[in-house]
Amino acid sequence: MQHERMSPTHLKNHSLNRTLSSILSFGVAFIMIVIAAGLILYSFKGINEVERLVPLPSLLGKLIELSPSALITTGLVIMLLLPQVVLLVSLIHFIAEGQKKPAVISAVLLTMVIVSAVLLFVMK
Amino acid sequence: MKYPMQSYFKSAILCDTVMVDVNIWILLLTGFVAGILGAMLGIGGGVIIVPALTIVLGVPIHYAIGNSLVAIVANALTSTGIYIKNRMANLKLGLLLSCTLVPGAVVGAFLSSILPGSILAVFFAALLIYVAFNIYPLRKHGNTTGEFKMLTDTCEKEHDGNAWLDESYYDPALHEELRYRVHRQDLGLITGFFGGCVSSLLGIGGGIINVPVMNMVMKVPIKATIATSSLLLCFTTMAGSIVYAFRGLVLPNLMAPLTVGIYIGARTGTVIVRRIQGVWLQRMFAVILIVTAITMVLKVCRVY
Repeated sequence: MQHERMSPTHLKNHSLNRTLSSILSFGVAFIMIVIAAGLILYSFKGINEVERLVPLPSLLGKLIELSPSALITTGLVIMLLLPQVVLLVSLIHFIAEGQKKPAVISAVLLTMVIVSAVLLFVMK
Repeated sequence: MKYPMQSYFKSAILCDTVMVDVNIWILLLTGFVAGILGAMLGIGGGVIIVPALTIVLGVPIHYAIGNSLVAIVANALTSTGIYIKNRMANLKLGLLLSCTLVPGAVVGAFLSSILPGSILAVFFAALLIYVAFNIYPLRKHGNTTGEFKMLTDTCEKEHDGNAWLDESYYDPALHEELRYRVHRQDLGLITGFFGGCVSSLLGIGGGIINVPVMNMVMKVPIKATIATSSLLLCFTTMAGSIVYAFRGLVLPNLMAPLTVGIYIGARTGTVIVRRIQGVWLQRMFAVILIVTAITMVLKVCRVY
């Protein structure tokens, strides 16, 4: 019903909205399942030592061992990658639709988010 | 190092040299409340999480901020997904404002080691109280759709022809499709930069600044403002979360229950936003601004 009132540009953006909404909804649901699984494993095993996030190089090995912190770390890593995925999908959509301004802004923002993360990490 | 633990539901962890009691139910409840308020007001929920972790559970402040930032990302992602689906979030406006917010946050992080945060916090608390009184709607029902259209028409001259940011969304509380125009993008961008700076300097969520700027300066309706602010939070808090995670200040046993609680809370919050009238959201936001101002002054006085 609402679609009838939309202009062509709004309709194009509506398809982007649906794509992004699906990515975010499924992405967050998956993250929550992984984190909740870690939480349930914690409740079975209990915490016998100080738990920290698992370093990325040893993440896969710990995941195979079904370590609760490895599961939670995986959820966190996916969570922190989702905003970049949103930006990337928007960028591709805007380029495909020939919407120059939003495409440039998405590209600039994607670059800035990555650069700022690196900068903040370096100066930590 | 081994610690005798009863179970995860009520246990203790060591943060640096401080022993912290982990109570999963308190963490879930904190996350749930922060999720509802964060999604309803577009502020992320750090205003609730940081004091709850530090005061109630005795978590050291850096660990509290680290875990709070990750929880805010979860909140922002959950609510943004729903707001984008309902067409309430203005994607292009969110992307545009993030372009100055993100560098602002980086500059703020650099400045944090130079500028005295305590003096800034007091000035900023005064500013928040001023904004709270301005954003609080004095009328019982706020603007009707017709009045809103008139309001935007009077601002027509200010609209500089950048119609690519204009959007519309269906408001179930008004039973109407609400079209709006985005004004004063230049001012929004400049304020966004300083907002990013201040949020990084004072360790507060950007939503406290984004929402008044979009609503009062850019004339975006309050519901679209809140939804767009959630989108902005995804980008602005992500970089900070990565740094805190790498520093080892995000603890899985604190973060996991907070995140699960916030997910449930955020989903509930987005449902309430659709049903509630905008005027109530503005009132709630004004109250949260005052609470944040008081919290900041308490922080300066080293109450927590």
